[in-house]
Amino acid sequence: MIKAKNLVKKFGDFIAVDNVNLNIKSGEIYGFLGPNGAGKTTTIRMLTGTLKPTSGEIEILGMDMKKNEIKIKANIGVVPDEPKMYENLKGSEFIEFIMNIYEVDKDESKKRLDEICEAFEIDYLDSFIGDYSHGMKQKLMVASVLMRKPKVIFLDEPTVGLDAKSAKILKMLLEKYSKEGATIFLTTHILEIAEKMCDRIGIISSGKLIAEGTLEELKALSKTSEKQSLEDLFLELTGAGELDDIIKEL
Amino acid sequence: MKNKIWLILKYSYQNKIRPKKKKDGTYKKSSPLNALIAYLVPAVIFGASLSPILYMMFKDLNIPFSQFGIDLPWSMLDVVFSMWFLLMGFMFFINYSPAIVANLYESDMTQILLSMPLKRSDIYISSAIDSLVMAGLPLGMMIPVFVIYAIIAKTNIFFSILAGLGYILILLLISNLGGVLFSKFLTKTSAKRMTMIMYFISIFLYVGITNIIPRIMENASPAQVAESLKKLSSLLLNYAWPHTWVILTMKGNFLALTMLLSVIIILGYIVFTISNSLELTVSRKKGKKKNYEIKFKTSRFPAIKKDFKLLFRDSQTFFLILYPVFLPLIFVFTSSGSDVMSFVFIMIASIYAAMLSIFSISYEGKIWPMPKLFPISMGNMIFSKIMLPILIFSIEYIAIALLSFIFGKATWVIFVMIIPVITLIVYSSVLGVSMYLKNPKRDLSQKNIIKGKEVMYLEGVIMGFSFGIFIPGNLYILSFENPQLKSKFIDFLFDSKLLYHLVGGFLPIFLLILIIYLTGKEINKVKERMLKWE
Ligand SMILES: Nc1ncnc2c1ncn2[C@@H]1O[C@H](COP(=O)(O)OP(=O)(O)O)[C@@H](O)[C@H]1O
Ligand SMILES: [Mg+2]
Repeated sequence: MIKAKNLVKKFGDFIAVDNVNLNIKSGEIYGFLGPNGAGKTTTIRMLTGTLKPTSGEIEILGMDMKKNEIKIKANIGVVPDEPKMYENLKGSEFIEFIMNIYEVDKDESKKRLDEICEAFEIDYLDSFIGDYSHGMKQKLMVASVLMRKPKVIFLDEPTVGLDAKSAKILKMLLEKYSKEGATIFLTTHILEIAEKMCDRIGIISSGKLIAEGTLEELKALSKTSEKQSLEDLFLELTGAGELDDIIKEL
Repeated sequence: MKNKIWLILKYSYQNKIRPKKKKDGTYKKSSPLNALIAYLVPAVIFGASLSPILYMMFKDLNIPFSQFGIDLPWSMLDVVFSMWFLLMGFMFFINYSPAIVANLYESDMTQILLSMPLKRSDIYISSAIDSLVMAGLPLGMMIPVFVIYAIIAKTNIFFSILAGLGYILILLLISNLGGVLFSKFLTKTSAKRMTMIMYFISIFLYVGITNIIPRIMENASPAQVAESLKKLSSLLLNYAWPHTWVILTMKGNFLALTMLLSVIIILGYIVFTISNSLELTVSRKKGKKKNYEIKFKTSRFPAIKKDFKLLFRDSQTFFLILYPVFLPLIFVFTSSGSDVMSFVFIMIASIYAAMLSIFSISYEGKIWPMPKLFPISMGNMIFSKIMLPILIFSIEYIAIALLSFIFGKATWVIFVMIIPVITLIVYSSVLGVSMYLKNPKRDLSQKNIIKGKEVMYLEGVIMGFSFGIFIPGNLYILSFENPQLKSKFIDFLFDSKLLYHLVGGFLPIFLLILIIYLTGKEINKVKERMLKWE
């Protein structure tokens, strides 16, 4: 469903994403885990066609990103890291815009929208987006994506800005959609979220994909490297050596 | 206290102007003055071009009421200018007052500043000063009106300056009183909306009021005129109006001066006290409709529909859309020179077309990279940005042309001008988008999206074309039916018939073809640049 081959992104001399390979199967929830600045957002932006890779290939739903960009975009759903929407539209007008621009079936997506709004307690569609708080925008963004029932869903740090209850509901919704066949790719810098939500986890650090596998596989890996827990592994892989020094300093 | 306000303002301005990095890696210093000047220049130009017109119109009006047999201390001039003062004051208020509220809530800084050990009144006052640029236009208009009044009425310079400063101060304070009151119950969006409605009202008032006096003077007997003047002055020069005190102060009335000063002090005290108890957090109003009541409509052009909504809802762009209609309309209804209308219109609209396309595309910039996720091509997205200003201004021109043909004294020439008008608007709109895309990563948190240099370039190029096409073109066409004009025109061109045809006929057509060629080139640049925006 989501494939990336030798994906590289350079900003000038700086390599933000370094030769990343991904192969995510249908119905999988894949967690892209890494510390701040690791290259998660850059990767997700390339996978969703908002940033051109310096080199490498991307294939979504069996289609090549270079040839079928618009068709891919019509079939995926993306929740970006920041919920940015036109401030001078009402929530409902934004939803209407999304429905029309993606040419989705109105009745069906309206039904799903009502469900999602119910779950997330979105009762503010009739006011202007400019008056929303960060969390309110985030929830609207999630709703506008999920109501379309895309086959592949990308979420960039989706739980940031959500309260605990909304985060929990999001988790449940994603599990439900993945059971119905949707492929989900989410990024996070919090190990716990990856552990709880994902079938498979990729760990990225300084632009490189340094470990990948199911929770069990990763745990096994952490045993062999003589570390007790996955957390230690995560910290070690992502440069915890420095962390030890810092802690000592303290 | 003063120091803190100054500090807030200083950083607010520094934040507005992101210093440019030079090639050697150091930062180029640019002063907040540049931003201020960029705001004030149009106002000053507008005011400067207004002054001679005002002077010519009213220079003979310094006729005391006693000549009409009315026992009041006013003159005709006072009536006319009281109307202007009132109008300017009102426009100042409605531009400035909601701007304070919008600025206070729009800026992310407010919340940060609130967490710092600052007095609320300091935060409020710095925001109020910051918003003053929004009231630049009415202020720029007010100053020449004031000066012209003083010149015609031959008032004392010292008292005039005192009265002028007093009037500005009192308007500032009234607007701020409005601001603190509005900020108690308006939401951010409704403050913006309010600005928009206010523009509307001010335009109607403007057109309405500027027509009252000529009507009264036109067809009436002296007795009727006297009666109307009495009524009018009891309304416009009522002692309750601050501008009445201003006019009296200018005439050297100490009582009026005392009144002015004491009201300033009282208002200042009230504003300061209220501003210290402000909440300064955004109140959120719930929508009226429940979710399940909302109906979603199908539209074939969702991108254009959305762009349209956004343009009409942003008070700034709404103003850009209305302004080109409003000046020509005044020409149509008040003056004889209806044929000048197309020139007045294009001078304003051609520049605003570029501004409008820039604002329109900046809405996408604000939510970037969201728009790139939508399943439409960049080309389609940008097409809508270019088309909307063209559609809006073309329709406006055609509407005004029809109006001035039917109700004014315009000739068929105004319809011939449709071709160059639309050509220029197309070019301007494309040029705006191309300019934006040249450097799509802009600081969009501020009102001035395009830099001073870019504005100058735009204005230079587009005004140059407008002048080159419309002045000779209009004269040339009009001279066909007007031999007197023709001989004058030829005279002006060193008595050369060849030059007459070259400048009047050939030059505009040549410029038109040049514009079409340049438009094509700019479109290619847009196509190239839009792919690099990511
Ligand atoms: N447009 C850009 N220009 C230059 N550097 C960038 C750009 N976008 C991201 N980077 C850099 O690439 C690195 C990865 O960023 P990002 O993908 O946003 O990380 P994260 O994993 O936190 O989402 C960071 O060091 C960031 O500074
Ligand atoms: Mg990120």
